[in-house]
Amino acid sequence: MSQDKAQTPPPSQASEKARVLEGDTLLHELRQGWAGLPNKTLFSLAMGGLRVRMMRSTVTMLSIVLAIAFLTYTGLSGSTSSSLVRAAEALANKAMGSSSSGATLSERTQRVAQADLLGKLDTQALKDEARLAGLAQISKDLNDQPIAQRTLARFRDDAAEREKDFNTAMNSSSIMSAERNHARSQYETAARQLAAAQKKYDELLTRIHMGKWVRSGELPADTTEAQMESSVRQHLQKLYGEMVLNISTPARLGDAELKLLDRPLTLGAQAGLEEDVTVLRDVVRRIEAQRDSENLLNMLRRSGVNIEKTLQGNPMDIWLIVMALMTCAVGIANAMLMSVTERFREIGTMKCLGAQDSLVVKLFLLESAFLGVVGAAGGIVIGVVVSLLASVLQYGTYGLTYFPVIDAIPTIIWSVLGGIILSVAGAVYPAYAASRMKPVDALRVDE
Amino acid sequence: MASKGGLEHSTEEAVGKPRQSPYVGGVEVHDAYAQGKRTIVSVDNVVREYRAGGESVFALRGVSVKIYAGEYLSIMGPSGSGKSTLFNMIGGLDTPTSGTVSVQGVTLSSLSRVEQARLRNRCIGYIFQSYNLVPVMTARQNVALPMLLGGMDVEEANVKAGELLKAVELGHRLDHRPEELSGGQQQRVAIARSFANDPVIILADEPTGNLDTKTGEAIIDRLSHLSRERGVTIISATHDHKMLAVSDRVVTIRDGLVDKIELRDQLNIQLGSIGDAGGVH
Repeated sequence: MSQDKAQTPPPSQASEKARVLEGDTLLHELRQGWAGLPNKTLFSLAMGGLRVRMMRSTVTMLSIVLAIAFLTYTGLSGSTSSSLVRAAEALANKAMGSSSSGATLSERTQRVAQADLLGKLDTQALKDEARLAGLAQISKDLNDQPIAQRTLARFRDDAAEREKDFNTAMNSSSIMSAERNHARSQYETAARQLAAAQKKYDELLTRIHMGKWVRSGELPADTTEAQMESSVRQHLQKLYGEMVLNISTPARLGDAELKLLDRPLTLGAQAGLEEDVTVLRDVVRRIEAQRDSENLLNMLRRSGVNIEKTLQGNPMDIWLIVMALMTCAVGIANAMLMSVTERFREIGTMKCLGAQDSLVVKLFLLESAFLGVVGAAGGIVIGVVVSLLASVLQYGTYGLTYFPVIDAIPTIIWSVLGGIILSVAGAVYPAYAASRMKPVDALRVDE
Repeated sequence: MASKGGLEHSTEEAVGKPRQSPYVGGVEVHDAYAQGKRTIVSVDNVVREYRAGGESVFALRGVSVKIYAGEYLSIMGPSGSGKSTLFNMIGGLDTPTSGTVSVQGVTLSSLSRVEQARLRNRCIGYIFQSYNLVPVMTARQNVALPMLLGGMDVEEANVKAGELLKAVELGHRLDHRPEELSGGQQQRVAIARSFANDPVIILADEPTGNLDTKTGEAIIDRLSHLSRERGVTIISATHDHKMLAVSDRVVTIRDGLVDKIELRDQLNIQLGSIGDAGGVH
């Protein structure tokens, strides 16, 4: 039904002219339609747009990245604090375990403390044990030694001087008894200080000697191997005994001691006190749990976390997340609106060239979905890193140990979905409005 | 009716002529011209009313024009005359408040939005004053776009785009983006694009408006050459007397009505004086 153009030149184009249709035939073809723009072209058009408008795309993407990072961070910090609260709760529950039957705790500690913990150890095993107990760590003591020596010498001089003063005062008849008493008390104080310093120095020296022996078998001049071994044995026995006795007053146990407590208990078990040791180990675990729980709760309180409400699903957190979502939505919609309005003329041109409304919508949605995916991915990485850092800064190692890995997965999924949905939703209205514009109106917009 | 707006042919103004139906007069005058020609665009009593703040403004008050296959028609008139509105009506870019526009025997108002878009794609090529190339695409992609939108295969479209660009002497600029091209080059790309789907009509809206005189002339030459070579109907809105000189007919719009329709031979008499007065813009 096609008809050649009723125009003269040139015959070479005759075949192309065959497509010139008229009236009903044309109408029929228009009604029928034809294949749309291939997806590949559509895709490369959208990507090309993003690449060429790099500046604007980057800014838009950045706003999505920040919005999603904020969303992820808000979500994660909420679940971090609830995870920590739950952990504190669990620890506290653990700490409240049933009390042991039979012998009392203090009887059991007495038994373990007084048992011969180190009796079965030969010299080498004793050295290893001493190393485990930290006896080999004497670098600080070695550093302190000359200072302690000087301090000791000063106290000795001081004491000698006070003694001389006191003797002078005693031998002089012209001095009042009040002054004599004063000289005596001065002398006594100096002597006490000297004794204390001497004791401290002796302990230091003992530690150094023991350390040297544990490290390299080096012995002080006037000591035999057997003497040294027995003094290390005594020292360890005393140390372990005190630690075990301290179980009944757990406030005195520090982190390092709690860790070290494992040694006397192991030795105790080897010495045939399995039942007592089992009970004590349970107590130690409960002490640890109690302490961790208290530490955690203190940290959470200091960070302003409302512990009771967090456990019930803090409405404040939900409110924060809703606010974050709204901020995201507004930011993304604004970026998309800008991107669409600044291209009205381009849209008008495309429509003049025969682009369907749906194509315009598709083009913008594709573009914004891409920005959404990439922006959300970036936002999540930043959000997770920031919340991990914040969690570690706020809660130390607890922040890492109790970081809500499982809870984070839904947060991340929601953030990705949120990023895509928000950026597409933000683009839907502008794209729809742009697609519905008459070409003439779209073209009229100034650039 | 005084001479204002730069380009006037007031000498021939028929003062006594009834302004209500200038079209009838036009057809009667040009009966001989219309003889044996196929009507390609038919504008029938088109009214376009704009509503602004409760008041209605008439851009077109009942315009009727017939445009014949293969002719080179210029629409002119002072700004605000309704010239652009008529131009947009013919191109299917705007819809009339009343009256009908038919292209190739198809009434535009009977078409859905989708069908109108297809008609624009297949039957009409557009050239704009500000070129309106898609900034993110190369020259070749710009020219290929209408073909791709028309369902053509990508390879085929690219080959044809290359040929069209060679025809406007831009064979060496195929992969340049609009921003890398001069105004004249961009307009030549736009011309190549307007020919992409072998349209029956090319609508050129002040195609030389943004170009210097020399480049403008080259563009006009290229356009009229291509139109004659391919037998395409060209409808242009213009102030440029160079464009008027190559027109078969000139339609003058004034106050939303067709003021007069002149044939080239009638026009040629006056062109000298217009030329002497110095161009427009």
